[in-house]
Amino acid sequence: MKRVFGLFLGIVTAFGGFIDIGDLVADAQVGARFGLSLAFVTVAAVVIIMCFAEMSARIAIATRRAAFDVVRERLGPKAGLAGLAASFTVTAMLVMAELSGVALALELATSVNHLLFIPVLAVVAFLIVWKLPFEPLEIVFGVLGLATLVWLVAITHLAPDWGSLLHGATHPSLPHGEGLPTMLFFAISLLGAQATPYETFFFSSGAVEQGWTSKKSLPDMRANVLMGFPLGGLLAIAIQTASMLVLAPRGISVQHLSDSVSPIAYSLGKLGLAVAILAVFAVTFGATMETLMSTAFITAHFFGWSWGVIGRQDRSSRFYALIIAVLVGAVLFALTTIDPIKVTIYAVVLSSVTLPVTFLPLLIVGNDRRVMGSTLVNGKLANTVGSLSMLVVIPAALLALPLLVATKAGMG
Amino acid sequence: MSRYDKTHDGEHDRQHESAEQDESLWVMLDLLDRQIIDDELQPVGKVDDVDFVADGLEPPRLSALLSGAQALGERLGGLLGRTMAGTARRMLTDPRDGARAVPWSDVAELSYVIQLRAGIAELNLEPALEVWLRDNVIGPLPGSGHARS
Repeated sequence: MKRVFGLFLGIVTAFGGFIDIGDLVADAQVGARFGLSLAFVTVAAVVIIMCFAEMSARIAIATRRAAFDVVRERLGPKAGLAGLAASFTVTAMLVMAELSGVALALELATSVNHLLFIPVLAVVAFLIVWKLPFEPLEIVFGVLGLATLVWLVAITHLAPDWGSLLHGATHPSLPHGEGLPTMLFFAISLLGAQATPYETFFFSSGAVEQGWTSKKSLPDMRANVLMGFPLGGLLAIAIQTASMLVLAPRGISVQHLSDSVSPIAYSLGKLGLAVAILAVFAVTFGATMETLMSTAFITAHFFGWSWGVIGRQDRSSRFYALIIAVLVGAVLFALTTIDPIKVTIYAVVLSSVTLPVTFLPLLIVGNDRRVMGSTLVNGKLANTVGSLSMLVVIPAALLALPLLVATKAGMG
Repeated sequence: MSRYDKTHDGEHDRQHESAEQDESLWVMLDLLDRQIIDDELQPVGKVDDVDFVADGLEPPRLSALLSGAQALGERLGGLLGRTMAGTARRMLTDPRDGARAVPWSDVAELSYVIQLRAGIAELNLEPALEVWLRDNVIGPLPGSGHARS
Protein backbone atom coordinates (compact mmCIF):
# COMPACT_ATOMS: atom_id res chain seq x y z
CA MET A 1 0.00 0.00 0.00
CA LYS A 2 2.84 2.32 0.91
CA ARG A 3 4.47 1.51 -2.40
CA VAL A 4 1.30 2.31 -4.33
CA PHE A 5 1.07 5.62 -2.51
CA GLY A 6 4.70 6.43 -3.26
CA LEU A 7 4.12 5.62 -6.91
CA PHE A 8 1.05 7.87 -6.92
CA LEU A 9 3.08 10.76 -5.50
CA GLY A 10 5.79 10.24 -8.10
CA ILE A 11 3.29 10.26 -10.94
CA VAL A 12 1.57 13.34 -9.56
CA THR A 13 4.93 15.10 -9.32
CA ALA A 14 5.84 14.26 -12.91
CA PHE A 15 2.39 15.44 -13.94
CA GLY A 16 2.84 18.72 -12.05
CA GLY A 17 6.24 19.15 -13.67
CA PHE A 18 4.73 18.78 -17.11
CA ILE A 19 1.99 21.43 -16.91
CA ASP A 20 3.15 25.04 -16.56
CA ILE A 21 2.43 28.54 -17.87
CA GLY A 22 3.61 27.48 -21.34
CA ASP A 23 0.84 24.88 -21.55
CA LEU A 24 -1.83 27.15 -20.11
CA VAL A 25 -1.05 29.76 -22.75
CA ALA A 26 -0.02 27.72 -25.80
CA ASP A 27 -2.73 25.06 -25.46
CA ALA A 28 -5.49 27.61 -24.95
CA GLN A 29 -4.25 29.61 -27.94
CA VAL A 30 -3.95 26.59 -30.18
CA GLY A 31 -7.38 25.26 -29.15
CA ALA A 32 -9.06 28.58 -29.92
CA ARG A 33 -7.47 28.86 -33.36
CA PHE A 34 -6.86 25.33 -34.58
CA GLY A 35 -9.22 23.16 -32.54
CA LEU A 36 -7.70 19.74 -32.06
CA SER A 37 -5.75 19.82 -35.32
CA LEU A 38 -2.46 20.10 -33.44
CA ALA A 39 -3.29 17.55 -30.72
CA PHE A 40 -0.96 15.12 -32.51
CA VAL A 41 1.93 17.50 -31.73
CA THR A 42 1.15 17.12 -28.03
CA VAL A 43 1.18 13.34 -28.41
CA ALA A 44 4.57 13.52 -30.16
CA ALA A 45 5.94 15.97 -27.55
CA VAL A 46 4.88 13.63 -24.72
CA VAL A 47 6.64 10.68 -26.37
CA ILE A 48 9.78 12.80 -26.91
CA ILE A 49 9.94 14.14 -23.35
CA MET A 50 9.26 10.68 -21.90
CA CYS A 51 12.14 9.26 -23.92
CA PHE A 52 14.67 11.92 -22.94
CA ALA A 53 13.58 12.33 -19.32
CA GLU A 54 13.96 8.57 -18.88
CA MET A 55 17.33 8.64 -20.66
CA SER A 56 18.64 11.55 -18.58
CA ALA A 57 17.60 9.80 -15.36
CA ARG A 58 19.34 6.60 -16.47
CA ILE A 59 22.49 8.58 -17.27
CA ALA A 60 22.25 10.23 -13.85
CA ILE A 61 22.01 6.82 -12.22
CA ALA A 62 24.98 5.45 -14.18
CA THR A 63 27.31 8.45 -13.93
CA ARG A 64 25.92 10.59 -11.07
CA ARG A 65 26.06 13.44 -13.53
CA ALA A 66 23.11 15.60 -14.55
CA ALA A 67 22.09 16.58 -18.07
CA PHE A 68 24.27 19.66 -18.50
CA ASP A 69 27.45 17.92 -17.34
CA VAL A 70 26.89 15.53 -20.19
CA VAL A 71 26.18 18.36 -22.63
CA ARG A 72 29.52 19.99 -21.93
CA GLU A 73 31.46 16.76 -21.80
CA ARG A 74 30.21 15.68 -25.23
CA LEU A 75 29.85 19.00 -27.08
CA GLY A 76 33.05 20.54 -25.71
CA PRO A 77 33.33 23.95 -24.06
CA LYS A 78 32.47 26.12 -27.07
CA ALA A 79 29.26 24.53 -28.29
CA GLY A 80 28.45 23.66 -24.68
CA LEU A 81 28.74 27.30 -23.63
CA ALA A 82 26.49 28.38 -26.49
CA GLY A 83 24.00 25.73 -25.40
CA LEU A 84 24.22 26.92 -21.81
CA ALA A 85 23.66 30.55 -22.82
CA ALA A 86 20.60 29.62 -24.88
CA SER A 87 19.11 27.25 -22.31
CA PHE A 88 19.79 29.68 -19.47
CA THR A 89 18.13 32.57 -21.32
CA VAL A 90 15.04 30.54 -22.15
CA THR A 91 14.69 29.12 -18.64
CA ALA A 92 15.23 32.54 -17.04
CA MET A 93 12.48 33.96 -19.29
CA LEU A 94 10.27 31.15 -18.05
CA VAL A 95 11.07 32.06 -14.41
CA MET A 96 9.60 35.50 -15.11
CA ALA A 97 6.63 34.00 -16.98
CA GLU A 98 5.83 31.41 -14.29
CA LEU A 99 6.18 34.00 -11.50
CA SER A 100 3.83 36.28 -13.42
CA GLY A 101 1.48 33.31 -13.83
CA VAL A 102 1.28 32.87 -10.04
CA ALA A 103 0.68 36.60 -9.66
CA LEU A 104 -2.00 36.58 -12.40
CA ALA A 105 -3.77 33.69 -10.63
CA LEU A 106 -3.80 35.78 -7.46
CA GLU A 107 -5.06 38.77 -9.47
CA LEU A 108 -7.93 36.65 -10.82
CA ALA A 109 -8.82 35.68 -7.24
CA THR A 110 -8.44 39.09 -5.60
CA SER A 111 -8.64 41.71 -8.39
CA VAL A 112 -5.43 43.20 -7.01
CA ASN A 113 -2.98 44.10 -9.79
CA HIS A 114 -0.61 41.20 -10.35
CA LEU A 115 2.50 43.40 -10.32
CA LEU A 116 1.96 44.02 -6.60
CA PHE A 117 2.25 40.31 -5.88
CA ILE A 118 5.44 39.75 -7.83
CA PRO A 119 8.07 40.99 -5.33
CA VAL A 120 6.29 39.19 -2.46
CA LEU A 121 6.11 35.95 -4.41
CA ALA A 122 9.78 36.24 -5.32
CA VAL A 123 10.68 36.46 -1.63
CA VAL A 124 8.50 33.42 -0.86
CA ALA A 125 10.14 31.52 -3.73
CA PHE A 126 13.57 32.38 -2.38
CA LEU A 127 12.68 31.30 1.17
CA ILE A 128 11.46 27.95 -0.19
CA VAL A 129 14.72 27.40 -2.09
CA TRP A 130 16.77 28.62 0.85
CA LYS A 131 15.24 26.79 3.75
CA LEU A 132 12.74 24.13 2.83
CA PRO A 133 13.38 20.64 1.56
CA PHE A 134 12.06 20.80 -1.95
CA GLU A 135 10.87 17.23 -2.31
CA PRO A 136 7.76 17.39 -0.07
CA LEU A 137 6.86 20.76 -1.54
CA GLU A 138 7.10 19.40 -5.04
CA ILE A 139 4.57 16.77 -3.98
CA VAL A 140 2.28 19.44 -2.50
CA PHE A 141 2.43 21.45 -5.73
CA GLY A 142 1.83 18.25 -7.68
CA VAL A 143 -1.22 17.24 -5.62
CA LEU A 144 -2.69 20.76 -5.80
CA GLY A 145 -1.92 20.64 -9.52
CA LEU A 146 -4.41 17.78 -9.81
CA ALA A 147 -6.98 20.58 -9.60
CA THR A 148 -6.20 21.06 -13.30
CA LEU A 149 -8.36 17.97 -13.85
CA VAL A 150 -11.22 20.49 -13.60
CA TRP A 151 -10.60 20.99 -17.33
CA LEU A 152 -11.74 17.40 -17.96
CA VAL A 153 -14.81 17.95 -15.78
CA ALA A 154 -15.62 21.15 -17.66
CA ILE A 155 -15.40 19.41 -21.04
CA THR A 156 -17.67 16.58 -19.88
CA HIS A 157 -20.14 19.15 -18.61
CA LEU A 158 -20.18 20.87 -22.00
CA ALA A 159 -21.38 17.53 -23.44
CA PRO A 160 -19.48 17.73 -26.70
CA ASP A 161 -19.86 15.33 -29.61
CA TRP A 162 -17.01 13.00 -28.68
CA GLY A 163 -17.01 11.38 -32.10
CA SER A 164 -16.35 14.65 -33.90
CA LEU A 165 -13.67 15.58 -31.32
CA LEU A 166 -11.86 12.35 -32.08
CA HIS A 167 -12.30 12.95 -35.79
CA GLY A 168 -10.87 16.47 -35.44
CA ALA A 169 -7.85 15.16 -33.55
CA THR A 170 -7.13 12.34 -35.98
CA HIS A 171 -7.78 14.35 -39.16
CA PRO A 172 -5.74 17.55 -38.77
CA SER A 173 -6.84 20.27 -41.15
CA LEU A 174 -5.95 23.88 -41.77
CA PRO A 175 -8.80 26.04 -40.44
CA HIS A 176 -10.31 28.62 -42.79
CA GLY A 177 -8.36 31.88 -42.76
CA GLU A 178 -5.18 30.43 -41.22
CA GLY A 179 -1.93 30.02 -43.11
CA LEU A 180 0.25 26.95 -43.06
CA PRO A 181 3.28 28.90 -41.67
CA THR A 182 1.13 30.08 -38.75
CA MET A 183 -0.04 26.56 -38.03
CA LEU A 184 3.56 25.34 -38.19
CA PHE A 185 4.59 28.12 -35.83
CA PHE A 186 1.98 27.07 -33.29
CA ALA A 187 2.98 23.42 -33.69
CA ILE A 188 6.56 24.39 -32.77
CA SER A 189 5.37 26.46 -29.81
CA LEU A 190 3.41 23.44 -28.54
CA LEU A 191 6.49 21.27 -28.90
CA GLY A 192 8.56 23.82 -26.96
CA ALA A 193 5.89 24.18 -24.28
CA GLN A 194 5.54 20.44 -23.73
CA ALA A 195 8.98 18.99 -24.31
CA THR A 196 10.53 21.90 -22.35
CA PRO A 197 14.26 21.38 -21.81
CA TYR A 198 14.12 22.43 -18.14
CA GLU A 199 12.06 19.32 -17.38
CA THR A 200 15.09 17.23 -18.35
CA PHE A 201 17.50 19.45 -16.38
CA PHE A 202 15.35 19.34 -13.27
CA PHE A 203 14.55 15.65 -13.50
CA SER A 204 18.18 14.56 -13.90
CA SER A 205 19.43 16.99 -11.22
CA GLY A 206 16.89 15.51 -8.82
CA ALA A 207 18.10 12.01 -9.68
CA VAL A 208 21.70 12.98 -8.86
CA GLU A 209 20.73 14.94 -5.75
CA GLN A 210 18.70 12.09 -4.29
CA GLY A 211 21.37 9.52 -5.15
CA TRP A 212 19.16 7.26 -7.25
CA THR A 213 20.51 3.78 -7.78
CA SER A 214 19.71 1.39 -10.57
CA LYS A 215 18.10 -1.36 -8.51
CA LYS A 216 15.82 0.75 -6.37
CA SER A 217 14.92 3.75 -8.47
CA LEU A 218 14.78 2.52 -12.06
CA PRO A 219 11.29 0.93 -11.98
CA ASP A 220 9.79 3.83 -10.00
CA MET A 221 11.40 6.41 -12.23
CA ARG A 222 10.03 4.67 -15.34
CA ALA A 223 6.56 4.43 -13.82
CA ASN A 224 6.60 8.16 -13.01
CA VAL A 225 7.69 9.08 -16.51
CA LEU A 226 5.43 6.63 -18.34
CA MET A 227 2.32 7.64 -16.40
CA GLY A 228 2.94 11.21 -15.22
CA PHE A 229 3.86 12.74 -18.57
CA PRO A 230 1.00 11.14 -20.58
CA LEU A 231 -1.40 12.37 -17.89
CA GLY A 232 0.09 15.83 -18.43
CA GLY A 233 -0.36 15.41 -22.18
CA LEU A 234 -4.00 14.40 -21.70
CA LEU A 235 -4.56 17.54 -19.71
CA ALA A 236 -2.84 19.66 -22.36
CA ILE A 237 -5.26 18.26 -24.95
CA ALA A 238 -8.12 18.95 -22.52
CA ILE A 239 -7.10 22.62 -22.38
CA GLN A 240 -7.04 22.70 -26.18
CA THR A 241 -10.49 21.09 -26.27
CA ALA A 242 -12.08 23.44 -23.73
CA SER A 243 -10.65 26.37 -25.59
CA MET A 244 -11.95 25.04 -28.91
CA LEU A 245 -15.46 24.41 -27.54
CA VAL A 246 -15.91 27.74 -25.78
CA LEU A 247 -13.54 30.34 -27.25
CA ALA A 248 -13.42 29.39 -30.95
CA PRO A 249 -17.17 29.78 -31.70
CA ARG A 250 -17.07 33.26 -30.15
CA GLY A 251 -13.98 34.34 -32.02
CA ILE A 252 -12.06 34.94 -28.78
CA SER A 253 -8.28 34.72 -29.05
CA VAL A 254 -6.14 34.15 -25.98
CA GLN A 255 -4.51 37.41 -24.89
CA HIS A 256 -4.51 36.96 -21.13
CA LEU A 257 -4.35 34.15 -18.62
CA SER A 258 -8.02 34.79 -17.79
CA ASP A 259 -8.87 33.70 -21.35
CA SER A 260 -7.26 30.33 -20.61
CA VAL A 261 -9.55 29.72 -17.62
CA SER A 262 -12.70 31.37 -18.99
CA PRO A 263 -13.98 28.10 -20.57
CA ILE A 264 -14.10 26.65 -17.05
CA ALA A 265 -16.15 29.58 -15.76
CA TYR A 266 -18.47 29.23 -18.75
CA SER A 267 -18.96 25.52 -18.20
CA LEU A 268 -18.89 25.13 -14.42
CA GLY A 269 -19.51 28.58 -12.98
CA LYS A 270 -17.84 30.18 -9.98
CA LEU A 271 -16.86 27.04 -8.13
CA GLY A 272 -15.18 25.61 -11.22
CA LEU A 273 -13.38 28.89 -11.79
CA ALA A 274 -12.10 28.85 -8.20
CA VAL A 275 -10.69 25.36 -8.72
CA ALA A 276 -9.14 26.44 -12.03
CA ILE A 277 -7.47 29.44 -10.37
CA LEU A 278 -6.10 27.20 -7.63
CA ALA A 279 -4.80 24.87 -10.35
CA VAL A 280 -3.09 27.72 -12.20
CA PHE A 281 -1.57 28.93 -8.93
CA ALA A 282 -0.22 25.49 -8.04
CA VAL A 283 1.26 24.55 -11.40
CA THR A 284 2.87 27.94 -12.01
CA PHE A 285 4.29 28.13 -8.48
CA GLY A 286 5.73 24.64 -8.81
CA ALA A 287 7.15 25.57 -12.20
CA THR A 288 8.60 28.83 -10.81
CA MET A 289 10.66 26.77 -8.39
CA GLU A 290 11.67 24.27 -11.05
CA THR A 291 12.72 26.84 -13.66
CA LEU A 292 14.51 28.94 -11.04
CA MET A 293 16.52 26.03 -9.71
CA SER A 294 17.16 24.76 -13.24
CA THR A 295 18.92 28.00 -14.23
CA ALA A 296 21.33 27.54 -11.33
CA PHE A 297 21.62 23.76 -11.86
CA ILE A 298 22.72 24.01 -15.49
CA THR A 299 25.23 26.79 -14.78
CA ALA A 300 26.70 24.90 -11.82
CA HIS A 301 26.86 21.69 -13.84
CA PHE A 302 28.56 23.40 -16.76
CA PHE A 303 31.23 25.13 -14.67
CA GLY A 304 31.60 22.36 -12.10
CA TRP A 305 30.38 24.43 -9.13
CA SER A 306 29.10 22.86 -5.96
CA TRP A 307 25.35 23.11 -5.83
CA GLY A 308 22.36 22.99 -3.54
CA VAL A 309 23.41 21.71 -0.12
CA ILE A 310 20.53 22.50 2.24
CA GLY A 311 21.84 23.43 5.69
CA ARG A 312 25.27 24.35 4.33
CA GLN A 313 24.30 26.89 1.68
CA ASP A 314 27.63 28.65 2.29
CA ARG A 315 29.28 25.70 0.57
CA SER A 316 27.43 26.55 -2.63
CA SER A 317 27.69 30.32 -2.53
CA ARG A 318 27.89 30.78 -6.30
CA PHE A 319 24.85 28.55 -6.78
CA TYR A 320 22.70 30.48 -4.30
CA ALA A 321 24.01 33.88 -5.43
CA LEU A 322 22.96 32.99 -8.98
CA ILE A 323 19.47 32.00 -7.78
CA ILE A 324 19.14 35.40 -6.09
CA ALA A 325 20.37 37.17 -9.22
CA VAL A 326 17.92 35.32 -11.49
CA LEU A 327 15.01 36.06 -9.13
CA VAL A 328 15.90 39.75 -8.92
CA GLY A 329 16.26 39.84 -12.70
CA ALA A 330 12.87 38.14 -13.17
CA VAL A 331 11.17 40.61 -10.80
CA LEU A 332 12.71 43.63 -12.53
CA PHE A 333 11.80 42.19 -15.95
CA ALA A 334 8.19 41.65 -14.80
CA LEU A 335 7.98 45.15 -13.31
CA THR A 336 8.76 46.68 -16.71
CA THR A 337 5.06 45.73 -17.27
CA ILE A 338 6.03 43.68 -20.32
CA ASP A 339 3.19 41.29 -21.18
CA PRO A 340 4.00 37.94 -19.50
CA ILE A 341 1.85 36.07 -22.05
CA LYS A 342 4.07 37.38 -24.86
CA VAL A 343 7.18 36.43 -22.88
CA THR A 344 5.72 32.94 -22.45
CA ILE A 345 5.11 32.57 -26.20
CA TYR A 346 8.66 33.69 -27.02
CA ALA A 347 10.07 31.43 -24.31
CA VAL A 348 8.30 28.28 -25.53
CA VAL A 349 9.32 28.95 -29.14
CA LEU A 350 12.94 29.56 -28.12
CA SER A 351 12.74 26.40 -25.97
CA SER A 352 12.24 24.39 -29.12
CA VAL A 353 15.44 25.96 -30.55
CA THR A 354 17.46 24.61 -27.62
CA LEU A 355 16.01 21.08 -27.60
CA PRO A 356 18.63 19.43 -29.89
CA VAL A 357 21.49 20.90 -27.81
CA THR A 358 20.29 18.95 -24.78
CA PHE A 359 18.89 15.87 -26.46
CA LEU A 360 21.74 14.98 -28.83
CA PRO A 361 24.46 14.64 -26.12
CA LEU A 362 22.04 12.59 -23.99
CA LEU A 363 21.43 10.26 -26.91
CA ILE A 364 25.18 9.83 -27.48
CA VAL A 365 26.06 9.19 -23.82
CA GLY A 366 23.02 6.96 -23.37
CA ASN A 367 24.53 4.76 -26.08
CA ASP A 368 28.04 4.67 -24.61
CA ARG A 369 28.27 1.20 -23.12
CA ARG A 370 31.62 2.06 -21.49
CA VAL A 371 29.96 4.84 -19.50
CA MET A 372 26.52 3.36 -18.97
CA GLY A 373 27.30 -0.27 -18.29
CA SER A 374 25.36 -3.11 -19.87
CA THR A 375 22.25 -2.80 -17.70
CA LEU A 376 21.68 0.94 -18.10
CA VAL A 377 22.75 1.50 -21.71
CA ASN A 378 20.03 2.59 -24.18
CA GLY A 379 17.87 -0.25 -25.45
CA LYS A 380 16.36 -0.56 -28.92
CA LEU A 381 13.22 1.30 -27.90
CA ALA A 382 15.06 4.29 -26.41
CA ASN A 383 17.31 4.50 -29.47
CA THR A 384 14.51 4.22 -32.00
CA VAL A 385 12.32 6.81 -30.28
CA GLY A 386 15.35 9.00 -29.52
CA SER A 387 16.57 8.98 -33.13
CA LEU A 388 13.10 9.61 -34.54
CA SER A 389 12.75 12.48 -32.04
CA MET A 390 15.85 14.11 -33.51
CA LEU A 391 14.09 14.10 -36.90
CA VAL A 392 11.38 16.22 -35.28
CA VAL A 393 13.32 18.50 -32.94
CA ILE A 394 16.14 19.46 -35.35
CA PRO A 395 13.85 20.77 -38.15
CA ALA A 396 11.67 22.43 -35.47
CA ALA A 397 14.75 24.15 -33.98
CA LEU A 398 15.86 25.38 -37.41
CA LEU A 399 12.39 26.62 -38.41
CA ALA A 400 11.43 28.22 -35.07
CA LEU A 401 13.14 31.60 -35.46
CA PRO A 402 12.35 32.16 -39.17
CA LEU A 403 8.68 31.31 -38.46
CA LEU A 404 8.65 33.55 -35.39
CA VAL A 405 9.65 36.48 -37.60
CA ALA A 406 7.58 35.51 -40.65
CA THR A 407 4.33 35.01 -38.74
CA LYS A 408 4.96 37.85 -36.24
CA ALA A 409 4.74 35.32 -33.38
CA GLY A 410 1.55 33.83 -34.81
CA MET A 411 -0.26 37.16 -35.08
CA GLY A 412 0.38 37.57 -38.82
CA MET B 1 23.77 13.82 2.15
CA SER B 2 25.76 11.89 -0.35
CA ARG B 3 25.78 13.45 -3.74
CA TYR B 4 28.17 11.02 -5.35
CA ASP B 5 27.98 7.51 -4.14
CA LYS B 6 31.40 6.07 -3.54
CA THR B 7 30.34 2.61 -4.63
CA HIS B 8 30.46 2.68 -8.37
CA ASP B 9 28.71 0.24 -10.63
CA GLY B 10 30.72 -2.85 -11.55
CA GLU B 11 31.19 -1.58 -15.07
CA HIS B 12 32.86 1.56 -13.72
CA ASP B 13 35.36 -0.40 -11.69
CA ARG B 14 36.27 -2.50 -14.68
CA GLN B 15 36.72 0.65 -16.73
CA HIS B 16 38.92 2.10 -14.02
CA GLU B 17 40.99 -1.05 -13.73
CA SER B 18 41.56 -1.31 -17.45
CA ALA B 19 42.63 2.34 -17.57
CA GLU B 20 45.17 1.57 -14.87
CA GLN B 21 46.34 -1.61 -16.50
CA ASP B 22 47.35 -0.24 -19.85
CA GLU B 23 48.25 3.16 -18.38
CA SER B 24 46.86 4.92 -21.43
CA LEU B 25 44.78 7.99 -20.85
CA TRP B 26 43.26 10.21 -23.47
CA VAL B 27 43.39 13.83 -22.36
CA MET B 28 40.59 14.82 -24.73
CA LEU B 29 38.31 11.91 -23.87
CA ASP B 30 39.12 11.02 -20.28
CA LEU B 31 40.14 14.31 -18.72
CA LEU B 32 39.00 17.51 -20.42
CA ASP B 33 35.60 18.82 -19.31
CA ARG B 34 35.25 16.12 -16.65
CA GLN B 35 34.16 16.95 -13.10
CA ILE B 36 36.74 17.12 -10.28
CA ILE B 37 35.53 16.27 -6.76
CA ASP B 38 37.38 16.23 -3.46
CA ASP B 39 37.67 13.35 -0.99
CA GLU B 40 34.31 14.32 0.56
CA LEU B 41 32.69 14.26 -2.90
CA GLN B 42 32.34 18.03 -2.92
CA PRO B 43 32.62 19.51 -6.45
CA VAL B 44 35.94 21.28 -7.03
CA GLY B 45 35.50 22.33 -10.64
CA LYS B 46 35.80 21.10 -14.20
CA VAL B 47 39.01 20.11 -15.93
CA ASP B 48 39.13 23.25 -18.05
CA ASP B 49 42.64 22.63 -19.34
CA VAL B 50 45.70 20.50 -18.59
CA ASP B 51 49.37 21.33 -18.04
CA PHE B 52 52.37 19.34 -19.25
CA VAL B 53 55.99 19.59 -18.20
CA ALA B 54 58.85 18.53 -20.38
CA ASP B 55 62.38 18.10 -19.12
CA GLY B 56 65.18 17.19 -21.41
CA LEU B 57 64.70 14.34 -23.76
CA GLU B 58 61.93 12.69 -21.74
CA PRO B 59 58.45 12.81 -23.30
CA PRO B 60 56.22 15.51 -21.79
CA ARG B 61 54.47 14.48 -18.59
CA LEU B 62 51.00 15.51 -17.44
CA SER B 63 51.69 17.71 -14.42
CA ALA B 64 48.41 19.36 -13.46
CA LEU B 65 44.72 19.77 -14.19
CA LEU B 66 43.71 23.42 -14.59
CA SER B 67 40.30 24.56 -13.43
CA GLY B 68 38.36 27.80 -13.38
CA ALA B 69 37.22 30.63 -15.61
CA GLN B 70 40.78 31.73 -16.37
CA ALA B 71 41.83 28.34 -17.71
CA LEU B 72 38.55 27.91 -19.56
CA GLY B 73 38.78 31.39 -21.08
CA GLU B 74 42.32 30.81 -22.28
CA ARG B 75 41.33 27.47 -23.79
CA LEU B 76 38.28 28.93 -25.53
CA GLY B 77 40.19 31.85 -27.02
CA GLY B 78 38.52 34.55 -29.08
CA LEU B 79 36.96 37.70 -27.70
CA LEU B 80 34.69 35.84 -25.28
CA GLY B 81 37.50 33.63 -24.00
CA ARG B 82 39.89 36.54 -23.51
CA THR B 83 37.20 38.53 -21.67
CA MET B 84 36.41 35.56 -19.47
CA ALA B 85 40.08 34.91 -18.63
CA GLY B 86 40.81 38.62 -18.12
CA THR B 87 37.86 39.08 -15.76
CA ALA B 88 38.84 35.99 -13.80
CA ARG B 89 42.44 37.19 -13.50
CA ARG B 90 41.37 40.64 -12.29
CA MET B 91 39.07 39.14 -9.67
CA LEU B 92 41.93 37.43 -7.91
CA THR B 93 43.00 39.47 -4.91
CA ASP B 94 46.05 37.31 -4.60
CA PRO B 95 47.15 36.94 -8.19
CA ARG B 96 48.41 33.42 -8.35
CA ASP B 97 50.55 32.32 -11.19
CA GLY B 98 48.01 31.26 -13.76
CA ALA B 99 44.81 29.36 -13.15
CA ARG B 100 43.86 27.04 -10.30
CA ALA B 101 46.08 24.03 -10.79
CA VAL B 102 45.47 20.59 -9.36
CA PRO B 103 48.79 18.73 -9.26
CA TRP B 104 48.41 15.35 -10.95
CA SER B 105 49.81 13.78 -7.77
CA ASP B 106 46.72 14.95 -5.87
CA VAL B 107 44.42 12.85 -8.07
CA ALA B 108 43.33 9.78 -6.13
CA GLU B 109 40.86 8.08 -8.41
CA LEU B 110 39.75 8.33 -11.98
CA SER B 111 36.36 7.20 -13.26
CA TYR B 112 33.64 9.26 -14.90
CA VAL B 113 34.68 11.87 -12.32
CA ILE B 114 38.12 12.74 -11.01
CA GLN B 115 38.46 12.37 -7.27
CA LEU B 116 41.22 14.09 -5.28
CA ARG B 117 43.06 12.69 -2.28
CA ALA B 118 42.09 15.46 0.17
CA GLY B 119 39.56 18.22 0.83
CA ILE B 120 39.08 21.28 -1.35
CA ALA B 121 40.16 23.65 1.45
CA GLU B 122 43.15 21.57 2.46
CA LEU B 123 44.43 21.50 -1.11
CA ASN B 124 43.90 25.27 -1.33
CA LEU B 125 41.64 24.92 -4.34
CA GLU B 126 38.70 27.05 -3.29
CA PRO B 127 37.72 29.35 -6.16
CA ALA B 128 38.10 33.09 -5.49
CA LEU B 129 34.53 33.89 -6.55
CA GLU B 130 33.09 31.20 -4.27
CA VAL B 131 35.09 32.51 -1.30
CA TRP B 132 34.16 36.13 -1.98
CA LEU B 133 30.44 35.34 -2.34
CA ARG B 134 30.51 33.20 0.81
CA ASP B 135 32.16 35.92 2.87
CA ASN B 136 30.15 38.83 1.50
CA VAL B 137 26.80 37.62 0.19
CA ILE B 138 25.66 34.13 1.15
CA GLY B 139 27.48 33.60 4.47
CA PRO B 140 25.96 36.66 6.18
CA LEU B 141 22.39 35.57 5.33
CA PRO B 142 20.58 33.93 8.24
CA GLY B 143 20.51 30.15 8.09
CA SER B 144 23.34 29.73 5.61
CA GLY B 145 25.17 27.40 7.98
CA HIS B 146 28.18 29.68 7.84
CA ALA B 147 30.06 30.05 11.12
CA ARG B 148 30.37 33.75 11.82
CA SER B 149 33.73 34.94 12.98
